[in-house]
Amino acid sequence: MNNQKKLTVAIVLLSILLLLVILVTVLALFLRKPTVLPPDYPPQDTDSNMQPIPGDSGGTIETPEGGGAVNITYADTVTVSLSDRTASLYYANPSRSNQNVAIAVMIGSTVILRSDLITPGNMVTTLPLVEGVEEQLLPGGYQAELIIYCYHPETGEKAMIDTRGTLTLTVVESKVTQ
Amino acid sequence: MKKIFVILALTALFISTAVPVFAADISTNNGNAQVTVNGTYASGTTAAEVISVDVAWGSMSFTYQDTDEGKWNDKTHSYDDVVDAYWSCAADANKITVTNHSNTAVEATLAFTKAEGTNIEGSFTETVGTANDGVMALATAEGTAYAEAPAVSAYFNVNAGSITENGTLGTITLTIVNK
Repeated sequence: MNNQKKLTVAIVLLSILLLLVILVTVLALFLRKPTVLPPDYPPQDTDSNMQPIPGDSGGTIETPEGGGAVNITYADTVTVSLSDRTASLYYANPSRSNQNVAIAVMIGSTVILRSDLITPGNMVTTLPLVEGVEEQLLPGGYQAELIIYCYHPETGEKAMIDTRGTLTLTVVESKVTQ
Repeated sequence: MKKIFVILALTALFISTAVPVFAADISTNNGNAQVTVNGTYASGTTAAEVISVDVAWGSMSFTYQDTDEGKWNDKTHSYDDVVDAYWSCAADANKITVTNHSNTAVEATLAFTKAEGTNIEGSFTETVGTANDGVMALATAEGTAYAEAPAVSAYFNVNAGSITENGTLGTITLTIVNK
């Protein structure tokens, strides 16, 4: 009788354990975050963080017939605030460019920042982090890469030339107030 | 009471006349007064490096002329007017110019990546230097007029490969590194 009781308790405990294992498995399968996939097509909208470049002097860049021209202006440092999930940077597409641009910042093969279209005469100084990427970053310095894609302003066709630059990306817990 | 007032007034007058003495040391040398002029240093700010380059490119439109087998000549048992396949483009359609407006020297490197499913091979011919390795060194724009900014051009050439229908040949990547 005593053994029978022990056996019953053991079966109940094992059943509870099994239920817990099943519950954890179900949660892991159905509640995991979806992987972010890069888009195959250029962004359609202008970036919501875009603002006019103060004192933009205009002008044009001499362009061979049928081609394109862009001025690429950026600061080679970026600061990422983990608490705000934003990055402070400087990228400008002056009005002498005849292309829309979209930029991305990558650390290795991970996309950290991505903009929508920045039209000529405008700049961005803030961009939100790509969703979930803050979980992969720690406070400190990273070597990052800036990638600039150019698009024809009327047809949206991507230019044959992409441009890359190197950046120093600093991650901080919270934005430093001055 | 009057005495106290006079003493206080004289003290104030003495102190006020002594203030300018703090501004400079005065000494005498053979009867000549010498004044030491002091300067205070306030550190300035260092200008951040800003990369600013113009990139201009031609249409990057290339035509592949497939082989023209010519006409059979029954007297020579060979083909006349045979033309081998070749690639061509309009003047400057394959030109890429990089102009440096940065306050730092930059190195711009060109690289070609063929489109998936093609067998295109390309190379670059630079207008400056003889290496033709796609690497273009540009001096800083500091001290130069805007119109005289350092600029280098290169031409993209399709060296090998063929196509059987219209399509994208590949992508040129320009990598900018500040030196």
